[in-house]
Amino acid sequence: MPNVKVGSVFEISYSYQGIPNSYTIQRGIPVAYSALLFQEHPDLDVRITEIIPYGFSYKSNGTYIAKNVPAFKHEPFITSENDYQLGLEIELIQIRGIIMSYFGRNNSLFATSWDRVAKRFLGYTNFGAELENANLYLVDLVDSIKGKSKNNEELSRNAYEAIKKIKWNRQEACYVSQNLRETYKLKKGNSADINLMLVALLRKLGLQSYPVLFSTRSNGRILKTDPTINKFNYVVAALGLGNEVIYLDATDEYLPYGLIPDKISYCYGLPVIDKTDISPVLIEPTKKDYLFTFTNLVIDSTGTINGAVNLKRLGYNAVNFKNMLKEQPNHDAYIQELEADNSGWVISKSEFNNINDPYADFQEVLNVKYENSITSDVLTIKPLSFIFEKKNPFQKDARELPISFPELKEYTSNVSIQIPNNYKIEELPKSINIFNSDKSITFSYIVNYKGNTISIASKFRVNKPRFEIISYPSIRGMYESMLQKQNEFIILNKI
Amino acid sequence: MKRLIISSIFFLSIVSLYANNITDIKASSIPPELLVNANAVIQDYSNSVTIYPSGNGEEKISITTTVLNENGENYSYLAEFYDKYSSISDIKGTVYDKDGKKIRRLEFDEIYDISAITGFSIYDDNRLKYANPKVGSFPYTVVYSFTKKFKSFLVIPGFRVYPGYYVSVQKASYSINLVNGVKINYKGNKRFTYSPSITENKGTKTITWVVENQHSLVQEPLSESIQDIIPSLTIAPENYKFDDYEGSNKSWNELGNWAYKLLKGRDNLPDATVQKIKDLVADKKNDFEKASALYEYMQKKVRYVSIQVGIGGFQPFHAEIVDRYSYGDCKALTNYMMTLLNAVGIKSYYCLVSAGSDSPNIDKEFVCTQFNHAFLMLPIEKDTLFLECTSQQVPFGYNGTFTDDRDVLVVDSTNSFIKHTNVYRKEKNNTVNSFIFKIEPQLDCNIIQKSVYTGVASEPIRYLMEASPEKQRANVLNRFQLKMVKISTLTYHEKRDIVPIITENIEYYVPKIAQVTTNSVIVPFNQVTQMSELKRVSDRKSNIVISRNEFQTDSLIFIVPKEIKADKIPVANSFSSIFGKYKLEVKIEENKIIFIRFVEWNKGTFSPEKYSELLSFQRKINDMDRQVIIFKK
Repeated sequence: MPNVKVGSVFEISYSYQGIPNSYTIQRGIPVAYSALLFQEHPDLDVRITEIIPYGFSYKSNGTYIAKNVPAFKHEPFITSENDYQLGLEIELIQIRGIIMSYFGRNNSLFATSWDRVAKRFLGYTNFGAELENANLYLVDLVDSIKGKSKNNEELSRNAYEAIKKIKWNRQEACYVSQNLRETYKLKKGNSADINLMLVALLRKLGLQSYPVLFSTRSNGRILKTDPTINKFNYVVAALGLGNEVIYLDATDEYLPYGLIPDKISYCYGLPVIDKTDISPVLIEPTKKDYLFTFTNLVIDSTGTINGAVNLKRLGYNAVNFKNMLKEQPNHDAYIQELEADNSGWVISKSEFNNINDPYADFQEVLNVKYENSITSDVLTIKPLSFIFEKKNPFQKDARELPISFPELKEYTSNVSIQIPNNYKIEELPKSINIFNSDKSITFSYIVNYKGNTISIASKFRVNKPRFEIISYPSIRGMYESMLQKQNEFIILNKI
Repeated sequence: MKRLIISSIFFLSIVSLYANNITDIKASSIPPELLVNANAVIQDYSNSVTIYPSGNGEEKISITTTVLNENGENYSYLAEFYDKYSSISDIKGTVYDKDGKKIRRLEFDEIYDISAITGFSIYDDNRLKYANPKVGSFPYTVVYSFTKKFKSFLVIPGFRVYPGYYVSVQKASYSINLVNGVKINYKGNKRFTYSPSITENKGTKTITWVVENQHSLVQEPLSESIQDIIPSLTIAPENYKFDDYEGSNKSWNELGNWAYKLLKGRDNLPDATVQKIKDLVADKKNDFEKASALYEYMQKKVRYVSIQVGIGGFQPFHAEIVDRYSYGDCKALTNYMMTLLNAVGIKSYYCLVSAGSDSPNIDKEFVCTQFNHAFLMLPIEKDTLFLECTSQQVPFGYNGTFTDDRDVLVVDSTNSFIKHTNVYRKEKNNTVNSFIFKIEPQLDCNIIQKSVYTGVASEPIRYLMEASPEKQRANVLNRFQLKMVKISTLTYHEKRDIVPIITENIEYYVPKIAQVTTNSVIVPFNQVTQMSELKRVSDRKSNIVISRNEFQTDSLIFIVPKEIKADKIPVANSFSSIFGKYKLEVKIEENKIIFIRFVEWNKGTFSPEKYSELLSFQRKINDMDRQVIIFKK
């Protein structure tokens, strides 16, 4: 805009109709003064939940005033800024009075209880009503699945794999965007289109299935004590098999049967069934972020290093890596990025095994080479780490918010280095074995040698998903130690 | 009613004519070599341009694109710009599956007509027809066809064989129909090696180019700009008229003189302003000082705002308006500056340029408008300065990568000509870094850094100077390989000059600078200015371009505590290649180790086979920079 300078003041006013779901006071810039007047109405029962990292200066009878609210600073590994920014969540509970007599009693009850929330969703045309349809177009698919399945588990696995073929348009939603018939015909949809389609199919196969509503981690937490309709933004399919409940999300082709996407890990999900005494259930991931690498290097008499790196990715490491790879324009681009991160190394081959099979071990093999153009009697070698992190995600000195990982981590590396006969070991990195006070993060790096072979075994583990702010220095320190060890040298002297 | 039916039948037969032209759009019919490194394939592109003697024209375009994967999705969109002087009609879109079976036709309400105001333009009469078919599974094929009509041609739509990287072209054709003797000139860029066929029919001359089976282009590091890599054909009308202004492309002089006509009479200033600036320069000794003072006056007074309305895309608005509202676009601000200088008796020239640090030079041999920006030429004493009038930060007379080293059109009433702008040679693209590492007995380290950036090297630092302290720190930290860096001071000073110099002073601390083993202490000598490696590309296709000469000198001084003693020190060396030079000198003094590192890059264009030579030159530099100092305890 013309004439804008430091110190310019903008005055903007606007109005709209309806009650907002939330009112965020804190934002990316400081707020000097904020006032919300929420007029109570005798016919509207509204629940206002405060998110209060800082208090209000004044709060009474629907008036909320906040002063000198600092800018919200984002930090890595939090669930969502919605969980921490000063603000209010507004949920309609019930309508009374004349309006109620117009809508009818049942229609005037909103988030009075979790039972009521489930009932409402079951009645929505873009949710439960879709499951009431006959869904006759599924008949052929049902027959084909029954034909190749011997028991209930196979029925459900085959159904899951069939629905995974519908392309997800990357929209997270708990309401369908089109009727299920359209989803089936077009073979694409949002997360509700796809997962409700899965519930419909499982039911048609005679299995017990129902939808489960979530507010994803990045959308913000829901509280067991506060029923809500507004906060949900995601839905998956639940399957009752024997005594177990299995959660299925068919939007991600790389998710194996029974593994929940980590966008809803440690979140509460509401089963949408017509029952009394329903309550949200806490969902925990059943797998870790697991990476195992084995590196074999041979140094020749000229100091050139040739070797192979085998990486085995399991659990969330496989799912996340495969999704990351999909974003790369081609395989070469991935190799080039690896080389850029590991300066001096040339990757002559990169192969993936079982990339399209979520049930097989996903493996990667790299052939690597390091040639030093400087001839010297002293060889300085940095044992590879085509693994782990490259940068410490925790850069800042201090932390304001708790740390939250979507899943536990386990990274293991074994390196074997064969040195040439005309060199001897001069210096090796020191072994370390460190952990924090409750051993929720551990790092070990053990260096050994025997004859002409040096071996390094290292293991980095994160054993709990959530850490209080007070743990930050030790978390940062552990990551830093891991990165430092990866950058240490082995020194060999010519004999 | 009757006419409506007849025209619909006519319409339908045109549609079926189009449908018949698409012979085989099955994805499997695409030759397999066209699928390599491709996110999409243009199965068929055809553009038929017709130009009438009145100056009107139209384009009939049809494009058949097969999208192979998600990265090629943007080629499935329809995105056609138009403005006050053009219109788009008869838009049709159809989507086919991989077997060539029609999935659906684009509905009328799926074709959006939206404003195309760019991020930096405040008002723009550019509009856009846009459609996004959102198909689920790959591969699929989209066919678009439409007609674009022009009221007058200043620039005739030309022919670019590819729409971008990673798209291959099965067939592309372009023809231009010149009705009743309309004259044009055409020229392809270096990569455009195709010959046309020419036919004549009832007074209309038709020139046609057909291109087939073109492999996709892969983006390679350090290559020429994309405009030089994509084979393209430029078409220029011999004569043109815009609003009421007539001009021709017969020579640069004619084109420049036409541009001058658009400027004429827009140079009035209110008397008060004239008096103000006369007072401002009253005590200045020479033209250089006067011009410099007026330039600073303009910088403080006005803001750059982009406005592209109709002929406003070519004609500046009055100097009076800039004076009153204190804003204008590049044309208005350049005209304003010219007017200010004129009021104190200094002559300057409005110039048209193809600006941008990645823009290729214009083709001097082919007269037509190839420009996107205006600025001012100021001949002063023995020099020629070029003034960038849209920046509030740039020092007087500095052009930098935006407009350096290229041909520009100097606009005059009767004598317009081409001139080459200033070239920033080595000493004007220079960085000098000095580091003092004071290593403490516990092996933590305090570091004092002073960096002096001269000329072109100062450009990215100028942006940094304007940024928030947080962004500055993040930028500095990103340069280092050091870990856990704590910055205590970070300041900038600028010497504003035709060749500006910016000095950066940083003080920082690292808790652990060394690796400690049983007997030794290991310190890599360069954890601050290592170069990131170029991507390895096998079988490189495009030329390697180093746009400018560059110098960098680093001195790294280590002050060593008496608790440790240097045992093995990095080796000194110097070597060179066609791309440049590297030199490392090592000196040991009492308790100091001093490294002087020097890197120089040569400006040039090198053939693609030389890429492995460049990679090994850079590899050698990085091997040198990765050396370590080994101390004994």
